[in-house]
Amino acid sequence: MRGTAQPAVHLKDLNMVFRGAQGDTVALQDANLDIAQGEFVSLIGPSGCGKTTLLRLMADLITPTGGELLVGGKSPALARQERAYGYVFQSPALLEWRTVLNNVLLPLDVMNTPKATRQARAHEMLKLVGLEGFAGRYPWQLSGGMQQRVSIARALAFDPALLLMDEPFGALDEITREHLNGELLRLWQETGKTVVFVTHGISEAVFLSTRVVVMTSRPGKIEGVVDIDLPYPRNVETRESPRFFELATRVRELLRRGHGFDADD
Amino acid sequence: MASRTVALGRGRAGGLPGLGWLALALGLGLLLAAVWNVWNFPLDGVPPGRKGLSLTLIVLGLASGIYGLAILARRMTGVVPALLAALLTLVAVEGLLRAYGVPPGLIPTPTRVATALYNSRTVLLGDARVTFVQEALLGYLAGVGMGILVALAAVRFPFLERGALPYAGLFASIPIVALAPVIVKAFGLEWPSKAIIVAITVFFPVVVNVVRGLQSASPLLLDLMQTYAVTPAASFRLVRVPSALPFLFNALKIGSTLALIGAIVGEFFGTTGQGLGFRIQIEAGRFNLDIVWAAIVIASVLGIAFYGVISWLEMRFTSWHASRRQPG
Amino acid sequence: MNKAVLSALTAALAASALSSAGAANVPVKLQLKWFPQAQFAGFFVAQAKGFYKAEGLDVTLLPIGDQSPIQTVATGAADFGTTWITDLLTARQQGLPVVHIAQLFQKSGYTLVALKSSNLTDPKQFTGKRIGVWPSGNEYPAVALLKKYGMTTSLDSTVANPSVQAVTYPFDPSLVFPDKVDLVSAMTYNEVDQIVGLGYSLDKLQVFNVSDFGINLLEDLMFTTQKTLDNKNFKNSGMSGQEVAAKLVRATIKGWNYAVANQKEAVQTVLVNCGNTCKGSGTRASAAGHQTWQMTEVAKLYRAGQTLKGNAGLLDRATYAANVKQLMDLGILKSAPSAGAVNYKVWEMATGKTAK
Ligand SMILES: Nc1ncnc2c1ncn2[C@@H]1O[C@H](COP(=O)(O)OP(=O)(O)OP(=O)(O)O)[C@@H](O)[C@H]1O
Ligand SMILES: [Mg+2]
Repeated sequence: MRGTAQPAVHLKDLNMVFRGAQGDTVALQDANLDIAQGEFVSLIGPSGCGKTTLLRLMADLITPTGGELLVGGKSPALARQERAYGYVFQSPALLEWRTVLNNVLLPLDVMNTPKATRQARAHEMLKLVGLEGFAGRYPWQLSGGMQQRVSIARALAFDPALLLMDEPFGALDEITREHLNGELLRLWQETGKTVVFVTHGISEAVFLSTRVVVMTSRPGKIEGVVDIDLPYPRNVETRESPRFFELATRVRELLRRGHGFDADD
Repeated sequence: MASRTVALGRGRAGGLPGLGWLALALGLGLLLAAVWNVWNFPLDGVPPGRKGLSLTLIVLGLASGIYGLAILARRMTGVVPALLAALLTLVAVEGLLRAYGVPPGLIPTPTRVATALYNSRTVLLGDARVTFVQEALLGYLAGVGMGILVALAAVRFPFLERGALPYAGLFASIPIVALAPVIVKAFGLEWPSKAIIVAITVFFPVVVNVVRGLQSASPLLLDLMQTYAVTPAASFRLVRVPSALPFLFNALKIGSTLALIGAIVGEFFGTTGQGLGFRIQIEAGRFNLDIVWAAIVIASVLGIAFYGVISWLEMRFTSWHASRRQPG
Repeated sequence: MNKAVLSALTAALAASALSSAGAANVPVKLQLKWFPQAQFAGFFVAQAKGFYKAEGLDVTLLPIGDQSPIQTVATGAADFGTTWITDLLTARQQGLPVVHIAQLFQKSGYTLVALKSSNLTDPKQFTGKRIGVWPSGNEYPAVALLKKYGMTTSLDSTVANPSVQAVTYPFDPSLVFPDKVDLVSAMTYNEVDQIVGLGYSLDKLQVFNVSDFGINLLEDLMFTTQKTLDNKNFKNSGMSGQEVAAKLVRATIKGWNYAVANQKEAVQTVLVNCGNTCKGSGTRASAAGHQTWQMTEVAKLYRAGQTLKGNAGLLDRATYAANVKQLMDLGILKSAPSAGAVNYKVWEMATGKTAK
């Protein structure tokens, strides 16, 4: 399952500085990371440490101020032109004038996928996120969590090889989140996609990932990377295994270090 | 539900629609009797006894009618209660004007207005055609069209927006009475000058609103379009245009009321012999206030209908928008 | 003893209070037909020279724009007013109980003006021309003139193919003349001078005085309501409405006689009152010049007809009858006004003469 020679994402001394009237913000400093094809990598770190920034850099929504960044061996701009990734934003970002179904159809429409299969594909995605009964509703008729699931369905609809997900389950209740964690994991295993997944949840990160990247803020940096060697299939028992707790503790320690809380312990 | 319970609690019969209709009918009957009692007297020749009787009947009739309406309004929605209220008011006004012998050259009674509406219908419809179709509607369409084009240009070329948009707001605040004489002098007395006045008054709100609407598009949605690598034109069509629709409709509604006012006021500043504004002005000078009011009635009906059509379109095209959502 | 002194003192105080109340002037509101200008010189002079005060009246002169003074008087916002005879008679026809009490201008000052270069010399040639008139009841003299020459206008909505295209415009002639119409309505004392001010000197203009063509629809008159005349105790003054009206008419005629005799002084009085409306709505630069012209012209309208017979303020019965006939011929009046439309008693009380 681990990748082939060409990494899905490659960062070398990547820097992102936002210039502003009140001074510059170093959102990302000298980040180095390689994500292999088919990996599931979680980014975890305190608020404002540059997780979203890093995803947006990969998505070519912003341009780095220094360093090297390749997506699928190509420049992020080219990757974007080739529609190499699907992006799930931190908030649902639905088009409020389109029904749920039409929101999911949107990427299929603009990418001119074969008309015959569009509807079926969109319904299939809605079923995947448990919203097949809501196809005709408008976004405002859905709860925040349901809206976020629509946006996940939309990102999956055109079957990109790379998924960039910015706290997709942040707005969900614990049970739904665990259910969707399971679904995402299954989907990832079945399709062999590469996933870059931003989260604030330690157990979510450990449960889902092949590796967890721990970041610190001011300036945004990669503090450390934890390899998750939990066996597959991962299920409820996985969450209760001693190894799971060991790994979670490891991540938590790295996070605390980043927060500068060590002295208090 | 709760209000119904309260209504029932107030009196056993209080919530029965039958009683509502009864009270309403009684009220209307009393009011009609009040009118009949002082019908066809010379203005200064209403006998004091009859005047007193009619005034009493009007007070009683209104009380009964309003009581009936209040009961009915709890069960009915839509325009019916409003129409019934209007009917009560009109009959009461008729009675009051006749009881006090108010000269028709000052305030015409509703029946006189209705009669004038019927007798002068050909002339008034001709006037309405000129004022509404030629001046207001054509001007409106031209103003909206131009407004949208300029808004598109302003969004496309930011220097236009920065340089010209603030002045658009300024221009928009020029009162129509200052604008009208200049336009009429420049473009002549026929209907096109009035259409131009309308176009100008409609133009500015459209520009300002459409620019704001196009800019109101969520940056996140524009980012989403970026991730799909669509052309700027497609992104504009898929995100900016729908985002601007509620703003456009807002301007369209403002414009629909401005259009008729603009056309009518424009006619006050010089016109050939047709149009509702012309008719109002010329007949007011002849103290034919029944025709003046008939013209006002037609203008109001057209204005309301125009606004209604725009609102219906708005409902149809932007039902998704927050301000349009039906509760539940 | 003391008691007697006290009661005598109280009586004296009460008497002085009473007499001062009796001496207080009666407040009277008079509605003019336009903004202050020399057209109303007699009123301003009567006020400035204290003619109203001498009659025990405290007169306020109210200006108005493009509306009829009838409304303000009929609703009681003003007690008396000045307007044109067509305005008064059409209002009466619609049930407004307004009454003519004095006729100041004996002759119409209404004209239609064309450029000499248009070669119009006779109203017969107006067929097919465009004429600009003021609306709001100020269009009748033009309509009457055209009717006299067998022409119809587009102002009459029942006419399918009018022989004259009439357009309405607000009071500034520069809005339509000479580029949009061939002829334009103008008062001798106002718009004619404004047209001159536009750069067309009098020798370039052909002025048709409608009174020269037998259309003499009378203009500035004084009126009030029947209710005011019937009032036994006008505003608690102890005087009847009719008495107040007579005093007002007497002082006004005195003011007009003085103004017409001392035009320079009258213009100065007007200039104090007219502020930024002195120039008229046209382009003429000098306020004094325009008001001087206006004074000269209105003096001509005042010094005509009955005024020349020593009966200033009297409505000439023959002219009135002719006016009524013309308005009925035009269909503007559906029936002859009742006798109550004109009250000659006020004038008789004011002048001590008998109205013949
Ligand atoms: N467009 C921008 N202009 C200026 N500063 C920015 C911009 N975007 C992000 N930043 C700054 O960069 C830093 C990182 O922001 P980012 O959104 O990547 O944080 P995050 O890790 O996603 O936080 P959170 O967990 O709250 O979503 C913050 O200090 C933020 O203020
Ligand atoms: Mg973020």
